[in-house]
Amino acid sequence: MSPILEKLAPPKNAIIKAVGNHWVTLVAPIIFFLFTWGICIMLFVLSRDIYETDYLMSLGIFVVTSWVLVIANHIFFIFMFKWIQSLLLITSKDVIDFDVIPLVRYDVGIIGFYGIQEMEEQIHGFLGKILNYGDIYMHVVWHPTVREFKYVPDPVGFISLVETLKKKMDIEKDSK
Amino acid sequence: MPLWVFLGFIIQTILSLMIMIWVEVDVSHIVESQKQYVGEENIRFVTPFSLQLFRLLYLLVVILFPWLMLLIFNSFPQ
Repeated sequence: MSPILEKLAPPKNAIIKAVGNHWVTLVAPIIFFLFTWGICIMLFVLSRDIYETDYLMSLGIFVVTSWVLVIANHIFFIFMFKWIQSLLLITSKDVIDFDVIPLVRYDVGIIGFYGIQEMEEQIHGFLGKILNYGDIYMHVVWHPTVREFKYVPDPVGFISLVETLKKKMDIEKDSK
Repeated sequence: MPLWVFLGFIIQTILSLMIMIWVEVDVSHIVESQKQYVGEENIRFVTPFSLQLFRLLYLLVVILFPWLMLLIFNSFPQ
């Protein structure tokens, strides 16, 4: 932050809770990663087997496979960083939404409690019920579209907390 | 090892390192930007232990992977 902004900036709101995406979103990248490694190991074994009979083919398989693995490694780690860095932060006055993918996306949304008109949660599917995750939709004043947060762990708890903080803020505002 | 395989291997390693540095720089930028929203006192929310661990793992995988490939290649019968 620039020194001028640092001087002007009011103190930050206290963070009540940080909510990341549910771990279930990691299942697909992990399966993709393990599957790619599995296939590539099989191809390595194949290239080793044909090394003496078809030297060029063996080298070709080895080179292509190593390129595929390099790309798979990078994709896997980018997904891990996305999972760790995408956050919903509930502060005492607003909800800050970080939706990021390294090299690809950086979206930040600050939704003040005063602007939240309505919230709804949707828990769909067997896994969603068992593992307790779902989607949250926020209707925000003057915002043309509905804000959507996917794969939020414990969406009921999230909405209850935001509702409680919103009510608390309203009471404090009325008492002034 | 034929020369073309060796050259391809070197290019692959350099490219991989470049991508790793690029991603790492972007991850640092994201953390810095997130810090501005949450403040210095709440840094732990945007730089959790898991982030530091995966940054280290990423570095290790990118550095060790070419050597693993070389090891596999050299284990082939000559």
